[in-house]
Amino acid sequence: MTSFTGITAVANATNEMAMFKQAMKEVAAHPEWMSSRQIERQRWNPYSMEGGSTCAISGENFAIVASDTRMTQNDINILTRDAEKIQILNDNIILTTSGFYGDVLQLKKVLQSRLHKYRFDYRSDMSVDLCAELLSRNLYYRRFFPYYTGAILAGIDEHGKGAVFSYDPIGCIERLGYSASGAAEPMIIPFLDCQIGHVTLSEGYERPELTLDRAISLMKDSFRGAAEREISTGDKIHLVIAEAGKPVVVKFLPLRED
Amino acid sequence: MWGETFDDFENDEGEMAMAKQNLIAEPARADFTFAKLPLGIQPVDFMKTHFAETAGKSMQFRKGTTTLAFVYEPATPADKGGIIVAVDSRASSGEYISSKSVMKILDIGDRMVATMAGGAADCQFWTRIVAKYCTLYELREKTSITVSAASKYFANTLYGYRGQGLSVGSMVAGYDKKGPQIFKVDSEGDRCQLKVCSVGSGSLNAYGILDNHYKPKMTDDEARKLGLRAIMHATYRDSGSGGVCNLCHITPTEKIRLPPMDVSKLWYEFADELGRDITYNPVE
Amino acid sequence: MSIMSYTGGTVVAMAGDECVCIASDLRIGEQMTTIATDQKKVHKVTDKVYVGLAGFQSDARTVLEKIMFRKNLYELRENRNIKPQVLSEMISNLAYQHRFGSYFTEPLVAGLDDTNKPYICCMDTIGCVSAPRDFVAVGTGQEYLLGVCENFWRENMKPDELFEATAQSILSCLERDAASGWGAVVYTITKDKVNVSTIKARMD
Repeated sequence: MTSFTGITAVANATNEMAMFKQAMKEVAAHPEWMSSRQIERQRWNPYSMEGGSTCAISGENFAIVASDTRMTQNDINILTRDAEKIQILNDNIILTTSGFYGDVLQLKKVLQSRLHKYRFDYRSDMSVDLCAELLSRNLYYRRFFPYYTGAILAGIDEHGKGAVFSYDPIGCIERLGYSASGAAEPMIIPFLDCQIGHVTLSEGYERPELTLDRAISLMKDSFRGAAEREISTGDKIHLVIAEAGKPVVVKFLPLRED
Repeated sequence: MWGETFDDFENDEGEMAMAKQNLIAEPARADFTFAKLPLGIQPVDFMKTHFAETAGKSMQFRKGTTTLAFVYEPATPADKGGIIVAVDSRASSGEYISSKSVMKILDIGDRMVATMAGGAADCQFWTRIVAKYCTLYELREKTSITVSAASKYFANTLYGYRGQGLSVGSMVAGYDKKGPQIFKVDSEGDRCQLKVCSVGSGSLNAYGILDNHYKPKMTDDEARKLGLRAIMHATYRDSGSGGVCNLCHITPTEKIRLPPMDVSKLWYEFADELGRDITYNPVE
Repeated sequence: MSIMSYTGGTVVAMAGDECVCIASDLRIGEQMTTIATDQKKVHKVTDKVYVGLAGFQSDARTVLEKIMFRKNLYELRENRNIKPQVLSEMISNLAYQHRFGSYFTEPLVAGLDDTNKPYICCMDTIGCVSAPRDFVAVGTGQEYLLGVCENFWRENMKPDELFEATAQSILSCLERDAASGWGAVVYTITKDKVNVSTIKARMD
């Protein structure tokens, strides 16, 4: 019988390699020393990523915060088209969070109760700087079981200036001019770098001032751009505008719904 | 029978006094109750599953750095000498640069700083704890704490969390009664005193420059330039570092923070200095 | 770190009115370390057709040789210049031939066809072509670029506008992508000539 020995040999080798890889995978997933219960434990996943993006821009005397209102599951199912990801904690502190919605709600609750207690103890509202540090600590207290969230805290500080604080899931804090978080963060941030940070502009060119109107239109642009390309962002822009000495304004603007 | 309350001490006044003394004199140990994972889940594995590269860009912790510090003596009487601490300012989550303007020199008291490398949140949080300890120490002992003691406290605290996945590589640098000192502390519990030290992903590049140009006796200007240059070369070769160079000069009398310098500008200046044309010339 | 971001690198192309722009960064690295800052990622195929190869640069080099080989054969056999549409189909075929052991590179084609209509397309590692009318991006900075380009792209841009939009987009992307940077090069392809310009970028 004629046989294409060369070919079968190669086929065998590939087959063997595939089998070996499969075996390695199985062993890594179910080490022999692990009981089934232990394996079950290791797979435990308390989080789910509910997508969405949030963004905040601060200026001389204002801070604006925006988020989309879509809540998705596994980037496929849309759970709701009007989820609230922005929490107005008091007249000059706005919290916006993306990520796992359970943790979003928990974080909101923790901060609200701490702010309430502060009012009770000191008879005044907490300032945004103070709240920023508080949030950072509360995130870090969950260092070994973190909140699955990307938080941004924005508001008007004691000097009447806009403030934006950006965090990682375990509370690395930084005060910035603008920040974004969530699924579309990598899309929004480079655009804002260009338009607000003017990082791509050569020296000697005029840099337009960041007014409230300009900030709002940039915010709209960045969300429209993100909604175009990022599937878990869309439906509506929830826009919150805080201006020094004025009440907080809340707006809803349309966005792609597909 | 199962626990003890203050009532239990009532019979023994000496013990009671001791308990009170402990409460007043010893600052409360930095003993936080971190939320724990359910029994049987390993924090390190858990973090790896949910917050490592597989997670989205926004769910990764911020890290990556080049930091350096060195001690030098003044070359001329006009110079001050002391310690130069120089750091970059990038925080990255994987390949994504999540921040370009992080301040990685954190204050501990008036005469001491800690640098930040590794997990950004870990460094920020634990440096705060050390700063608090140092302030309380100063109030209690009526003398400022030595760099050695502060770094020891830092190292001990981190050692308490060894194996739980903290990631800290810090240099505690400052001037105290024993002179200028740098201690490198990390999350594995290591602590060692060094004259020239660099930590982070770009540390090898920085060492290259430091080893080449470092002299025990330098003028202030030379020393500052060396710090800037080492950071600049590290940021050029290492994609985990970049942004601006923050520099802090701790002299025998004061702590001077210099204005941040853009490392990209420094590089172009350096290229001009060499007269090297670094412009890419596309050839078909 | 996946093999696709081992060497780093980003390529973007934008279409305008009878012109296209194709731009890339200049870095080649080994994971976190930058090895060189003069790595060509955009290559000339014919006078009006360029191909960009992002991803693992060793594979990109091999793929480029294979592309040039096939293109030369095509031109010898057909005795005419290859159209961008044909080239992209050819690259797609080449990529799909390695379906079960693919090259770790994402090709991108940009050029003008016979009627000077702009054509741009990108594909994945196994040759799934997508040819939109606005812009395409591949490489480590893809996400950043798509976000920025979405805001910068306009209908029927003239060559100078298109150049500006492409340059701004890639520079903004390089700001946030650690795996690419160290300079950029932009090719503006118009019906008469190709304009090549190197842009200074951040060196960190």
